[in-house]
Amino acid sequence: MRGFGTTVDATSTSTVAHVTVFAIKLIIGTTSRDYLLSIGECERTRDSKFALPMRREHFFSRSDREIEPRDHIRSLDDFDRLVRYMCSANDVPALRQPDLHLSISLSIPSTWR
Amino acid sequence: MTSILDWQRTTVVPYTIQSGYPRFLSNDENCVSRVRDLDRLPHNFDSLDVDGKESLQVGHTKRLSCQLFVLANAKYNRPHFDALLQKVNPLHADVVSRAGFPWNEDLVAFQNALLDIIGNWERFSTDQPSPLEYSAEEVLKWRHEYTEWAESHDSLEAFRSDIGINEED
Repeated sequence: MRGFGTTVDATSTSTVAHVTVFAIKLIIGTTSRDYLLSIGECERTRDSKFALPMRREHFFSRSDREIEPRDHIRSLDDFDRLVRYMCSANDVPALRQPDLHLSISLSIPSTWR
Repeated sequence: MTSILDWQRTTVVPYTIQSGYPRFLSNDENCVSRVRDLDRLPHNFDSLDVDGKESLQVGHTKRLSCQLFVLANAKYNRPHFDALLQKVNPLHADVVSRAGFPWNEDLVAFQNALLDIIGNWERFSTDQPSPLEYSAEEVLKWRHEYTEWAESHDSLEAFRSDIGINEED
């Protein structure tokens, strides 16, 4: 798949979706595989630099067990191992409003043909 | 000009991940199992009391809206209609979106999405085994945590709905 960014510098005007200012490894690519791998790499980098064990929000869980950054990193590693099975020839880039609802759209029926 | 659409937060990503139902046309994210026979109110609808009518009307509107969305795609957007028929695409979209969230309590939903992939592995590959394996104890723990998380999440959504706000506002 083409169209997911070919910029090689991590500047503020980069067109690569998952480049961050603290990224140590950039994944620059033009395929859906590159795109999916960049997701895991971005979050893994953030975890390894900034994440600390964290208490769960009591509203969402009654468990006292803390969330460990390594748990997330392990899941990201597992996600990477699935990537090759999630890519196909139909992975053309698509622009789509992911949360279309009536509050963000205005139709003018009188102009319909 | 015939319409205006707010494209804020929209991104370009692979088609198989983008495809799906708008939430308000998703029949509460249950989608619909058939589209040929449009959903109808029961024959005894007029004889029901007000509360009974309202309940049936709401469910009917949700199912019919979803069916019409699918049919509109079949007529005007065939590639997206074909993508909607691929049961594997929602699994793709879910695990990819969960992987992209910053690490926090959403880890529970991310782990559950990974389990869903393994549980539907035959849709990903018929000739290769899943590259992921988890112990029965881990699976049980993650599913339990997810159930707890999902119930709380639904409650939070209900609270928000009751007071007229949502995450997007």
